[in-house]
Formats: sequence, C-alpha cells, structure tokens
Amino acid sequence: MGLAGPKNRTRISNDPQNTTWSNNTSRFGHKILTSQGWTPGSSLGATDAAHAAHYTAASSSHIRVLLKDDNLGLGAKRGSETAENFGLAGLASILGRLNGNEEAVKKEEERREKVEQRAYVYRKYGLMNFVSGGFLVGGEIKPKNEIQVKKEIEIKEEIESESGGDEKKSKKRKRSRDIKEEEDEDAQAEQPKLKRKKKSMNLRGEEVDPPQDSSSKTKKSKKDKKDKDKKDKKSSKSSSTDTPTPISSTTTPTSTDPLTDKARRKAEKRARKEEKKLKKALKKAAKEAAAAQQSNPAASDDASSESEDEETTTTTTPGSSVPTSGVATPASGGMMFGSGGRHGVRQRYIRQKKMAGMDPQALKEIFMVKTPS
Amino acid sequence: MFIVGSHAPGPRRGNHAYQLTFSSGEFLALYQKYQILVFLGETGSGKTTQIPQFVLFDDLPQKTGKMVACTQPRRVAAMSVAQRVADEMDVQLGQEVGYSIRFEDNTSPNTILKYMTDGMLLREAMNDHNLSRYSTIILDEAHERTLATDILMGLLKDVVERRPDLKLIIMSATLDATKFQKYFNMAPLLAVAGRTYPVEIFYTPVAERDYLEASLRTVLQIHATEAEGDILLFLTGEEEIEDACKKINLEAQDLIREDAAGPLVVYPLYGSLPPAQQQKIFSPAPPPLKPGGRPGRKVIVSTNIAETSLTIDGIVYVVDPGFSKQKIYNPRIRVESLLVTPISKASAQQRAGRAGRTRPGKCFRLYTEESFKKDLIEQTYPEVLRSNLSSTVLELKKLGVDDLVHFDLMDPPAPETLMRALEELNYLACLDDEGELTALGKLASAFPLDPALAVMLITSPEFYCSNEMLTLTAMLSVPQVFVRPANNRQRADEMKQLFAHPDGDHITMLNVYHAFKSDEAQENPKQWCHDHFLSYRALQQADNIRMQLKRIMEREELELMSTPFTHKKYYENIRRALVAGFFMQVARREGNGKNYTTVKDEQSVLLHPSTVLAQNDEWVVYNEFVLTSKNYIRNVTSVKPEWLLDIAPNYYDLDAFKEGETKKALQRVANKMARQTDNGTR
Repeated sequence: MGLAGPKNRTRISNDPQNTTWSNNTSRFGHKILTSQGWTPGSSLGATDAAHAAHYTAASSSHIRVLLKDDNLGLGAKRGSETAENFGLAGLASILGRLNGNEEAVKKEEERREKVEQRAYVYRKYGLMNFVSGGFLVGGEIKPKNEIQVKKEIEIKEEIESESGGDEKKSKKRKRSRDIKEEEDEDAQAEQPKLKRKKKSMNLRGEEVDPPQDSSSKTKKSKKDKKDKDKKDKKSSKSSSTDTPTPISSTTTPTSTDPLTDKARRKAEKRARKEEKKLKKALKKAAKEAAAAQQSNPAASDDASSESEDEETTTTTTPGSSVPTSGVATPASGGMMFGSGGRHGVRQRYIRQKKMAGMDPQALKEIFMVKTPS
Repeated sequence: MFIVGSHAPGPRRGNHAYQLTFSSGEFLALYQKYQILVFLGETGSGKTTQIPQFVLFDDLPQKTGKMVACTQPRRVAAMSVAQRVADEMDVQLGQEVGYSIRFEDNTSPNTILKYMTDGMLLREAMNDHNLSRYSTIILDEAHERTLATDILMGLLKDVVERRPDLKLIIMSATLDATKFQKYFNMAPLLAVAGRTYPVEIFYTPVAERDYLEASLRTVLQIHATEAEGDILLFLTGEEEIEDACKKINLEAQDLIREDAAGPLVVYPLYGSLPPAQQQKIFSPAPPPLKPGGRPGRKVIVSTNIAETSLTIDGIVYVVDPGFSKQKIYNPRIRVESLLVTPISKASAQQRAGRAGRTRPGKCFRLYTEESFKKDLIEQTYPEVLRSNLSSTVLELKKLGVDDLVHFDLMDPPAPETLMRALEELNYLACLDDEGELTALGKLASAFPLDPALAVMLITSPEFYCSNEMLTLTAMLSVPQVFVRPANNRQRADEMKQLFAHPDGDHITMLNVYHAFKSDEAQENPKQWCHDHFLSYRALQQADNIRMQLKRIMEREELELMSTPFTHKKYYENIRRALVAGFFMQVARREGNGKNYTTVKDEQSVLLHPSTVLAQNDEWVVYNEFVLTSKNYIRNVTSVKPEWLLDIAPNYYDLDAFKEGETKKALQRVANKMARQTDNGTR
C-alpha cells in the first residue's frame, strides 16, 4: 500500500534469524548429528535414497514464512493498483501532447474513459472474469481438445453458435454501414474542404463549437449503452453476447441551439466517425479476445462477452499506464460489501436518479419539454 | 479436533456399501505376490472399507492368531469406518472388527480387523518393535502425510525386512505416485479410477487485488448465473469464514429480493465448529421459493478440511482463492507460525476435484494460470517438515532408532529442526550427553504428550502438586476452552475475569476446571458452560484426557498429591512445577515497555492479548510462542528468576549465556542468592 496504506509497526529482534544459535557448532544437537555422520550442508535421510530426487528445499533448511497481512490475491503485486498514481497519468498525457503525440494520447484517453465507464457498470457486482484452463480428469488437467468426443462436439456447437452470432453482428454492422455509406462517401470526398471550412468557421467565431458537440453526443451514446448494459444485467444476467450495437442511427439532435445546417451536418459526421473508430477498436478487441481464448466458449457463459473484450484488451496492453483495468475487480467495488444490502439498494436507486438528472434528454422527457426536431 | 469425517453418518449414506470400481482378482493377485503394495485410489473408490475385507478373506489372520490393521489419520474416520465394515460383515463392532484410538480401545481377543489412528499404531510399535501381532498392515490416506504416517512408513520399511511374513499396503489418493513407489523400493502399483466426473477449471485473466472480495463476487455470480448445484468456497480461517458467510447472506438476500436468483443458504465449516453445526453442511439445498421457481443452492465456506476425505454430495462449483492457513515451525527461534500461505498445486487439484463428485463440475480459481504454474509449489509440505520434532525424536529413540541422521523418511526434516529437538530433550534430561535415552526419557515417552509437558508431569510430585499439574496438562492438551463469540466479546471477557488469577493463565485454567467440576456446575454442565462462555466439548475432553493420564501416572507409580489449598505455597508450588517443564520457554520484560524478550533465543515478543496477566511481571513462562499477526507468547504465568536458576541450573548456566540484558539480570539474581546462602550458612 502506498502512503495511505495501513501502518503496521513490528519490532524486529536484534537477531531475528537467531544466527547465534545456528552458527554455534559446539551445541549438543550439532555434536550428535556430526557423530552420526552428518556433515554441515547435507540433508538428512538414508544414504543414496532412491527417492532423494523428490526431496524439497525444506529438507535442507526450515520453511521460510511470509507474514501476509492483506487480502492481496495470489500473484497480485503490491502497488499494481492505480490508486497510487497520484494523477501522474494526467501529467503523462500533458507531456505526451507537448511532445506532439497528440493522436496517441487522445486514443489512450478515450480508451481510459471507456474503461472507466464500463467499470462503473460492473461496480454493482463487479463481474468476475474467468478463462478456462481445461478439465481436471482424475487428478490431471487436460486441455479441452483431449476430452471425449461428446464433449468436443458440444463445445464445437457452442463455438459455432457464437461465431454465428458474430456473423449476425457483422451483418448488422453492414446494414448500418450501408445507411451511412452515402454520407460517408460525401464526407471522404469533402474532407479537405471541410477542414478549411472548419477553420474559417472558428475564425468567424460561431457560437457552437462542432467538436464539442460531437463529443457530448458520443458521451450521450455511451451513457445509453451503459443503461442498456445495466438493463441487460438486470434481466437475470443472461449471457448477453451482443457487443455494443450502433446507437447513433437513432439519436436525435439534442441541442436546441439553432445550428446552421452545415454545422450540424458536420457535427453529425464527426460523431459518426468517432463511432466508427470506437467500433473498430471494439472489433479489434473482440478479435484479440477470440484469438486469445479460441477454445474457450464456456467462459462466455458467465461473463458477458463485452466484459471479456474489455479484460482482454486491457491485459494485452500491459505496458499502458492504466493498471486499474488490469485488475479484475474494480477499485471501488469494496463499497458494495461495505454497505449493507438495504443500503446498497438505496444507493443504487439514488445513483439512478442522479444519472437521470444528468442526462438532458431524460430530463426533457421528465419535464415533457418538447424539442423542435 | 475435527469431527466430521469422510464417513460421517448421513441420511444419504444409509447402509448400502460402496460399489467398488475395481475387481478383487487383480488386487489379490498382486497382494499375494508382493510384500509391499502401493494402492492408488480416489476418495470414494471404496478402498477404505473394501481392501481390508479382501485382505481379511484372503489372509485369514485368525489362523495364525494375528490381525489386520488399517490406519487412519483421524479418530472419527477410524471409528465410523470400523462401524460400517462391521455392519457390512454383519458382526458386532468391537468383536471381529474393532477400532483403537487414543484414549479408547474398542477391541476384543476375537478382533481380526482393527481400524486405528496412525498415532496408535506408532505407540504400539514402541512396545513391540516388530509389530508381531499383525499379519498385514494397511496405511490408509498416506497422501495426507501426517507425522505419524511418515514415521510409520520409515519404520515399516525396516520391519518388512525383518519380518518376511508381514505384508504392507500403502493406500493413497492419486498424488505423488512415483515418489511413493520409489520410496518403497519400486513396489508394484495398483491404481484404480475414482468415480469422478471431469471438472472444468477456470482462471482469472489477471491477478485479483482482493481475494476475499473476489471470492464473494464469484460465489454470488455463480449463484445468479450458473445452473443448479452447490458451491464450496475455500477460505483460510474461522474469522474470515464467518465474515464471508455474513456478507454472502446479505448480498444473496438482495439478489433474491430483486428476483435475480433462487434461495441461498450458507454454512461455515471449520475445525473448532461444534459438531452439531458441522453436521448442517450435509443438509440439502433449500427448495425454490415457489414451485417452478429458480432452484435453491447451498454454499459451504470451509477451511481446507473440506479438501481431503470429506465428501459433501451435490458440490458442483468450487471457488478456490489459493490460500490456506498453515502451521510452520521455525527451529531457529522456536516459533510456530500460523499464517496464510499459498496452497500447493496438488492441493489446488484436490480442491478442484471436489466439484466432480456427483456430476461434471466447475472450479473457479481466483488466480491466473500463470500464477498456478509459477507461484504454487508442487506438493504441500508434509507435517514432518513443518513441526517441532522433539516428541517425534523421543518416540524414535524409544522405537529403537538410534541413527536419526540416516533414518529413512520420505521427506527428511531440516537438520536444524532435528538439532533443536535433540537439544530440547537433552535439557529436559530425557537424553544424556551421549544422546542415549535416560530413565526420565523412557518414562516421558510413556505419555502421549509433548516432552516438556510429560517432564513437568513426572516431576510434579517433587513440588507436591501432581493432581493440579495433571489437570493443567489435560487443559493444555485440548483446544481453547474460552469461547469468545464475535457478537458478545465483552460479556465473554467479563466471564473470563471470574476465573482470572493474577499469577497468570495457567492458574486461571485450573480455576476453570475446578469450577467446572464443582457441584453447582455439574448439575447442568452444558448450561453452565454456555453461561460462562466456556467450551463444554473442550472441558469434557480435558476431563477425559485427565482420566487417561491419571491411569498412566498410576501405572508408572507416580504419586498423586496436592498441597492443601489453604497452604500459602499452594500457588507457588504449581508455578514452580511449571518451571520444571517449561524453563526453556521463558521471557523477560524489556525495561518498562510491553515487549518481552525470550531467554537465550532473544526474540522480541508480546503477551497474547488473551492473557489475564497484568503487563508488569518481569519474568514469565509461556506455553507457546506463535507468530500470527505478530510474535506472541500465549498462556503465560509469572515466575521468579530465582526458581529458574534453582530448578534448571543446566539451562541457566550463566557462563554459556550470551552477553546482554538477560544475562545481567540473571547475574544479579544469582549474586543475591549466593549472598543469601552465605548468610544462611554463617
């Protein structure tokens, strides 16, 4: 734990290993052992024992112990959490930008934001992720492909069904792409023009900054997604295998500001582009996940594939400066168990209300404000 | 002591015998041909009940007036298996089939098949080096590698060479097979498949930050998303388990309220749990809330006692955080640590196997596959590598093993551990300076006790308090008598104060026993114990042990006596007698602080918070030195330094002391004593 961790003061003796005793060779025990033919440094036991190869280190010296005074899981290292970063991540991004790596920094920030938003969803129960490690048959672990044919078929079916789902998804994506295609083409063709226009627009000092608008939109769509995820989970956590589907097609312009037609279109395009990027990233993540866990359909039984994607993406980028995502249990998850069950429900309720209050669209719906479309 | 054995009586078990998964022919062919046989079979293959019967009908030991012995690591298992086999063979328990455990011998001259604890067979070997009463010896559950089984294997390796007519069968779960085989000179190996189903193993993709929280999440997730089947969660200790049970219950209620899952019941399982509550784990999972609703489930949160030999039907999901609490002895500073440590690979497999008893199951490991490969050791360290060996060395000496260095153990202990044991025995005068057993040592080995306790008991007549020391020894041989429930700690502490004696914990324990035996308490001892926050079970056990020890005392012609209670030296005598056994376990306070330093080993320790002793006695004698969250000495009583010099002059030979505060303090006391004797003679 860093500076904020609990402080445990322990007093260490002057000679914690008691070398005074162990280095003393005139002791009774030492004398008896050497008189029976033991030499310092050798282990006890029958001479030339057939099973001597199976002796462990504990046969030559006593077992060393470590005082474990935390709940750190097996293999987890202290200080691998983000909590210890003290805002260094923010500094890194500033430095990155100053160094001219704007693209990379932006990507990283987006990714981080996404991860955090997802984490929010899992905070409720913090979905546990598992990867299959094969089957234990009679004391030995066997990889899946060695299990009897029957099992294999089952697994294959599962895989097929999953891949089928993928196909569907890609079809869906295609469809949405078709809808957008025209506009996109336009956009591609007009890109240089657009850039110029943007500049001029800024110079003119129009009241609405298009990039801002687009970002708010993506945020909103993300929020939608979150809500959707929540609903998914609420519906008895059925194994929802759908990766986030494009929502943009249904979004209606939220800003009531009178926008110029051009500006609006531009904003829309931007939003779309943004979304495309996001989708691409997701797709890539999904592919990676699939590659990493090719023969692992079972894991998706208990973990929605989306979360898997998240996990794998984060694990495949261990070099990134965001280790939070590298830990399966979200940081603030502790509060769930800290507060009692009833309080938990209440907190959730309050949270939902707050979220509704923050969402302008939802607010409008609540106050029945009509928006000029 | 753990009560639920692998063969705990339950409604499901009934009287039907295990269907064996192998034929007797193959086994008997090997049995007849070879003297030593290694038999591998999973728990549940029926080997414990069937193999001894095969042997019995093939060997017919009654013809030669001999017996077949089958050892078990646990007392309860020995008792319940004997009962089942007696039923199967349609004989009365205690006649042809009997059992023998510490403090209870249920056999007769007719007995031809005897189930016994491994410790009992070892004690029998002490008086009969060739174990000539037996024609076949079966060591069951050898994979558990208890101290007694390990020593027995080393002994029997020799015995079978001396006695060509003795047959030896080692029965083990399928762990470490080649090691067993190599150890027994490449004895033939017969392996039978257990009736287990495949278990799918899941790992987490990354290391968990908080294994406790992760395990709770996993349990809840299984409950909410997985098909019907009970869950077994492995945690490390009583406190952790009770806490987890509470939290799971709370969250499950939440889930049920939101109609996200069926009903869920949670049962804790650990050694110190009363037997009635341990039995609860066998009750079936709750039914759905409404007909056709989501199925109910039970969750058992257990220490690693559910890892071996305990079969709970219906377990389909195992959650394994990868930790357990282990006792490990450090011979250098003579501390026994009880700490949370990573389990071994073998242990992890064993845990996972628990999920495949009734149908294909799943095991969720809360660590990565890489961690499993890298961070876990292959096998759990056997007891012989983790224990203080002073009583073992005494036993071995009594068993006629003189060359301790070359005694052929499957895993020889660290040389320093053996040295320490020898030195302790030497100071206790159980071994002479040549390493030979003394008369006192022989006498001490007659007691199934730690040598220090045995010596204390044997020398107690010199202090006119052998009755009291007998009680104290019994009280120190049972688990904690003071109950301190989490929800009522204050009241429990108040009750403990009723028995407290300013001289320390040992005398407090005596007070408890005397109060327990008073007429008032004996009217309704159960209620009395409950009212006074004492463990009825432990006290009853202590009473039983006291009776057994008394019998040994009488047999060895040790006088039983007491100083009159009204005598002013009543307590002093008891404390002096304590020093006679525990003079090597003394600590001295550092200045005016809370810290104490152990004598000679010079380790900084604290009095355990449970002590009744006010923290201002300079010299204390302690029963154990443990490392839990800190270095603690437990069960302490204040003593006078004069007694140390007086009673154990060998150990407190000031010339051999390391320079330091302790030596200075002792020197001052020695000078004062010398002056006093001078004055006295003058």
